[in-house]
Amino acid sequence: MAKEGYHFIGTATGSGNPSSITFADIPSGYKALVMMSAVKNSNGGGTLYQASVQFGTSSSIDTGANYYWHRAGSTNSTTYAASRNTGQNYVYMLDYPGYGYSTMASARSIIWGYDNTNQQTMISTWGGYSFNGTTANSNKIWSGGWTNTGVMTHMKIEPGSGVNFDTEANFTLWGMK
Amino acid sequence: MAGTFDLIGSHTVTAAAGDAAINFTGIGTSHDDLYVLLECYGTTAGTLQLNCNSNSSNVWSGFGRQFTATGTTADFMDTSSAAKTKFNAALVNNYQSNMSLYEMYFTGYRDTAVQNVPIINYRNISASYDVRVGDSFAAFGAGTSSNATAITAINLNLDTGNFGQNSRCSLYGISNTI
Repeated sequence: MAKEGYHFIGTATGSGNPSSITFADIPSGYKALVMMSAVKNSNGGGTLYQASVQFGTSSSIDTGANYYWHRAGSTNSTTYAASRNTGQNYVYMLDYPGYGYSTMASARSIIWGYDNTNQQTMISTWGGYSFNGTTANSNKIWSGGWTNTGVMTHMKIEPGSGVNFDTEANFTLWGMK
Repeated sequence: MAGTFDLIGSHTVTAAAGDAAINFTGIGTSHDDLYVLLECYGTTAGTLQLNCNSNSSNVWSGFGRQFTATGTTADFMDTSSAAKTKFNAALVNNYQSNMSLYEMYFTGYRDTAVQNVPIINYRNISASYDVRVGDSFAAFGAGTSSNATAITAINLNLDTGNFGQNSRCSLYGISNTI
């Protein structure tokens, strides 16, 4: 077993079309967590959905207005001005197209401060997708945080309002030593 | 024998007053690329600028884009033709609870066959917009030193003040073959 570098923690898929996916009992002791995501929903028809993430200590996911986020990037030919918001119920992590677009969005997230009680848990995700060249495209950096400074052990990912994950969706979590 | 992703060195700021610089020296040539993961904040109030240098080079150029606050998108670093004494790598905040995070890739750091090496690609992701902090930003960019020698030292500092206590930085070596 390697003593440093990337350590595999777990993987989760959209098998059964869940409305959310949770990584539970995430171990402490890593400098940062890294998550690779491939996201698609099973019943969405539009071109733009937004997957989001929430955190928790023990088995309790915090669903309160204790999150903030910052967005930068572009969708199709529009470059959006940077935007931010606080007092939110989650952190957005990835824009992706609905099921009808038969493509998946991919992303890499890095999560830091998650086991340090001097710090809040923070996440930044760089991801996007392209479908058919000009039909539906997005590339964004979503960054944000959870105002709780407790040791984060649970992370819940949702595909957006009113939709479920497609069976092909998958997430892999590593810890970096 | 080098692995594919090896920890070369790490530094944690332990002093209450902070550290003026984070330095890695004696970097060998066993790997193909270098990767730096920096989690930091500054001891001086406000947004600060992170500076990066290697081998005390003084002929840097670079370009990046930062997305700051609401509606602000700006090019930054060296957008002129003049060479700089360091690589200006966007912003750091001054809250320990909301540290800024940097990822830097020193691609081909040991390559002496090409003049303008190394190239540093980085992104800075600091989403420090909670109720106490007045700013948030994300940035990415690239910098180049025309010092065509292998990198053996990396120096990181802030334009004002010190890295705050508990800031930490790790240097990894990446190998392209196993």
